[in-house]
Amino acid sequence: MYGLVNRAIEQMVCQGHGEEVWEDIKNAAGVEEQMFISSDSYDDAITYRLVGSASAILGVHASEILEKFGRHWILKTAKEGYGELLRAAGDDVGSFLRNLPNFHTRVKLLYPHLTPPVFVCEDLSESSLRLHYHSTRAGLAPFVRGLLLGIGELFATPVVIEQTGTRDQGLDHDVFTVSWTRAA
Amino acid sequence: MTAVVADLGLTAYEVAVVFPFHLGFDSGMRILQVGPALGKLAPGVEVGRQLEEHFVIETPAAATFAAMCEAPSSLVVFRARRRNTVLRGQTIWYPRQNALLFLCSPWLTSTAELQRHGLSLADFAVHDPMADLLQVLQAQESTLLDVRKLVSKLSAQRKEQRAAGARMAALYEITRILGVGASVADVAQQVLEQCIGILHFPVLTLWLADANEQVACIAPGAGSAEARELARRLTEDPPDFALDVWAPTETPLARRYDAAASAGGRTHDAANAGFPVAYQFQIEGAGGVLGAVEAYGTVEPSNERALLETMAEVALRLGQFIDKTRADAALRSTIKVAAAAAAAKSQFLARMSHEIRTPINGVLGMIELALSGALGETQRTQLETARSSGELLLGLVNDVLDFSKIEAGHLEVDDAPFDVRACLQRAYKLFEPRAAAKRLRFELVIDPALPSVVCGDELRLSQVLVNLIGNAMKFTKAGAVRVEASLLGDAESELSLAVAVTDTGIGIPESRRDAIFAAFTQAELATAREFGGTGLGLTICKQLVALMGGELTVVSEVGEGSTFQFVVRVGKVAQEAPRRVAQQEGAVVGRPLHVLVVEDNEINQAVVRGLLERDGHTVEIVDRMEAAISRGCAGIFDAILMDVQLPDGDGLMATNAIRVHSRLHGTAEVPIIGLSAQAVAGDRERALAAGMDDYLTKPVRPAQLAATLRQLCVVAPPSQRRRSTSLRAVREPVVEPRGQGGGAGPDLGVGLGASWSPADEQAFLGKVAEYADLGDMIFTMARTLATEATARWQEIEHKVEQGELARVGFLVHSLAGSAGTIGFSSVEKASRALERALRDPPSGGPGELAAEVEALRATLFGLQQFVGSQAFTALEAQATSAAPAGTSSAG
Repeated sequence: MYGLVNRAIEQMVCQGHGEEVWEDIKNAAGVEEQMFISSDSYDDAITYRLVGSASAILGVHASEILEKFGRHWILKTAKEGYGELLRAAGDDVGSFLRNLPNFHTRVKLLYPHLTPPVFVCEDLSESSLRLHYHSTRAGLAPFVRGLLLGIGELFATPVVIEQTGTRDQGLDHDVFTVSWTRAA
Repeated sequence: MTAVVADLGLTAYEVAVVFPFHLGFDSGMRILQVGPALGKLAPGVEVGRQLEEHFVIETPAAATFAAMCEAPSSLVVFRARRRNTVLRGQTIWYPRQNALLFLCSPWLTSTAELQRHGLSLADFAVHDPMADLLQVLQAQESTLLDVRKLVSKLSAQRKEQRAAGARMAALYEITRILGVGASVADVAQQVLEQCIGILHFPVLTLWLADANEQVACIAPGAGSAEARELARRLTEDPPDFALDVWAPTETPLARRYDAAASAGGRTHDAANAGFPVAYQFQIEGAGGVLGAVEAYGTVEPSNERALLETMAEVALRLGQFIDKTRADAALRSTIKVAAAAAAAKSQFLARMSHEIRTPINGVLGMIELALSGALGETQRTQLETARSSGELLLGLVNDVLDFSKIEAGHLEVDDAPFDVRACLQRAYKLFEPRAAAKRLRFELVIDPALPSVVCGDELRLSQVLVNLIGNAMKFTKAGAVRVEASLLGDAESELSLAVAVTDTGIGIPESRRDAIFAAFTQAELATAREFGGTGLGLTICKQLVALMGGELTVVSEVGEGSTFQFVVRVGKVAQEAPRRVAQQEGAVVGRPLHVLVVEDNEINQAVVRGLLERDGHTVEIVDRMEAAISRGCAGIFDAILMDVQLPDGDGLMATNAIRVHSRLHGTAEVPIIGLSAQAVAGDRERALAAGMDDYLTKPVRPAQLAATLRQLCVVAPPSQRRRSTSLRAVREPVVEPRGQGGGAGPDLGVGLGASWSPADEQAFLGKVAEYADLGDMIFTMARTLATEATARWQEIEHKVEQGELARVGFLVHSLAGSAGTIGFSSVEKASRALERALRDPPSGGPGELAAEVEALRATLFGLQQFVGSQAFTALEAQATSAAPAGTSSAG
């Protein structure tokens, strides 16, 4: 897993609950890393363990935590990690989402050791699309949902997200229908 | 334009998608076509406008249409005039239209430029590597950011690690300081200095709730005038803690100054004085808050929590330290009180023994004298009863004394040869009359294997025997008392002597058998009423037996009787006849002696005089130390009985002086017998060390006194008595001889009599050094002699005129002795000259002695001058301060 994802978990816990709680969560998860390098690759298990112990210690369901992490990732972590590039990834929600597939393809080209997810956009209208999320990792759909919410907030655009297909239903990927209000 | 697109075979839309930044222009440099993204990047670039209005052609250098047509594979660079954006790409010449198509992309070196140019990634063609480059750049920037964060985190950790190390070191040092400190006052300043190392606050104070004062510490190097002033005010002004408002922190014991809630008080004043940050660390002991350490600073500390926790630890340790020092002080005080009580008890016992023994001495002595005279039968019986009662009383006093000695650990057992069989028999004989009176069968059985002479403490063994037999007699109304001594063991150098005293008396109930050995206890209260006694006898016996290496036990049956038995270890002796026995038994009645009795108590004087005169001796009595020395040195006595306690000093000092005199003059050493009611441990040893030959405890038993005198005086008649030849080697004087060429300095010489010799001073210095261990005694003797000189000389002159030459002889003999003792050789020589003149009187009568008398006067005058001089005073001060303490009574 991309270091930036773990960083998002760390930042959110520290901002909301303080460094001591983060240390407790790390200890409970058996994670010894002092900090995560954004562009480095970490064992997926680390992320899962961190989410698991954060859920246990904070008393919040894992899916809820993941969704919050997703929002936080866009609004705080990626903003810091990607800086201008994040905003340049699109002019609005639509262009941003449509750029996601290319973005991840480039990530894969730049960091051959990473296994980024694959996004496929299917336009439904000018203000809606169907997003197909393919990942080798299970259970991160709530994280993607949080990301989509964060993107809406990034462009100050209300978005409606509906997960229309899940792996639980036998699909090989998750499907989200995203619709947004067109900017005035 | 349509033709260009047609030639490429691409639609306008496709060209815009594939080359979103393209630009077409003709040979007149007029813009023909603009890509959608280029229009976004360079607003105002429109078809029909001149190229140079918006762009500067940087490459090729010729910057002409022709140059760009000729090099289709060259890199072409335009710079947009408005935003200074660099566009790089290549040109394609379309000959038919004579137009150029510039296929380009903006050259960006950071993601920030993207935003600045109002572009997004969607503006770039998918094949354009610029988007990839931007992502790489972003990754690089992101990594750089991570590295910076890591470095900063590491630095912070390192800094905190160092700070934590410093805090630990300070805490360790404080623990060490508290470990060796005895009180808060001792350690306060050092502890505060260490706390400054922890907190880095300029002013720290420590106050204690019960001390009403504060100790302040100013940080070294941070001692600004303001800090000093604050420290002064905090420590000098009477503290009023009630006004300070402190708010609790997350750390126990640590509180923070609450500026919002404070309207006055010291902390409020400190804040106004420029020290707005203040913390208080409460020092708590077992009994509550004892005080506090307070810190005053100008800025908030970083890492507040760690600092507060460390300081709270300091406060905790201070609290423990104060508790400990107070507990120690309380313990010391208790021990002191207990020791004082024990000392007072010992002192009381010693004083009581003296006070009681002195009158008993008088009573028994007088009875003894009365019994030696002619008496009627009734009077004799009455007096004998009185004597036995007195002796009983003396026994009780001795019991109490022995007990106090044993308790103080001062009692030691002797180890000398004695006749153990005789000892047993004497004890037996002592009780024979009582057994007969009570019609008891009384037996003494001695094991034939028991040797006569053994080594041990005859007196203490006797004491135990007498006590046990006495008890048996006391508690047995009918039946028998049996004493059995047997040899239990025979080792190489030791024998085990077992003694059992069996009676058919009242017996001791089992429940009381342990108690009878406890101090001041008897088996039953009724027993004490019926039989009397102190209840100390068996306690003392048990301790004495233990001191002799054994144990005293009892087997008893109420109504049947008791057996007290003990086993003691005694030493084997090779020769059969013990020295002590031979001396006592072989003693012969001595010749009449001339005895000097030094005693200040009139009753005792009368008793001793009576006892001595009854035995045919002559007696001279003095009651002061000075007189004892002067008479004791006269050399006319056969023996001296010396009381230890005298009104103007003590008998030990007098003995010392007399011994010193003998050694100096090589005269015979007169036997000196110490005589004192002070029957406490160590007295005898001190007496012997001072030069006494023996030491008797009052009340003096007539037989004991007679025996001692016989032993000391008869064995060696005066003529054969040892002469003192052991003159001590004269050590170097402790002071430098003054004056020039070995003579007296001018200050000494002035006013001295003609016969006073500088050698006198040298000799005196020698004596000072020789008797340095006698303290200031030599100076006291010199002063005494100087004071008495006039009177002595006047008496000598007067007696010479009167013709009482014998008296003159005595006077000058004494004077010679005294002067010689302290090294005044001129006086001694003058005295001896007069003495010789007296022994060999000139035919011309007393008048012929005038020259010697005058010579003596001159030297005495010189002596007075010297003793009165500043030099003498200085010498005395110097010698006294140099003399080791506690040596004044050394023999």
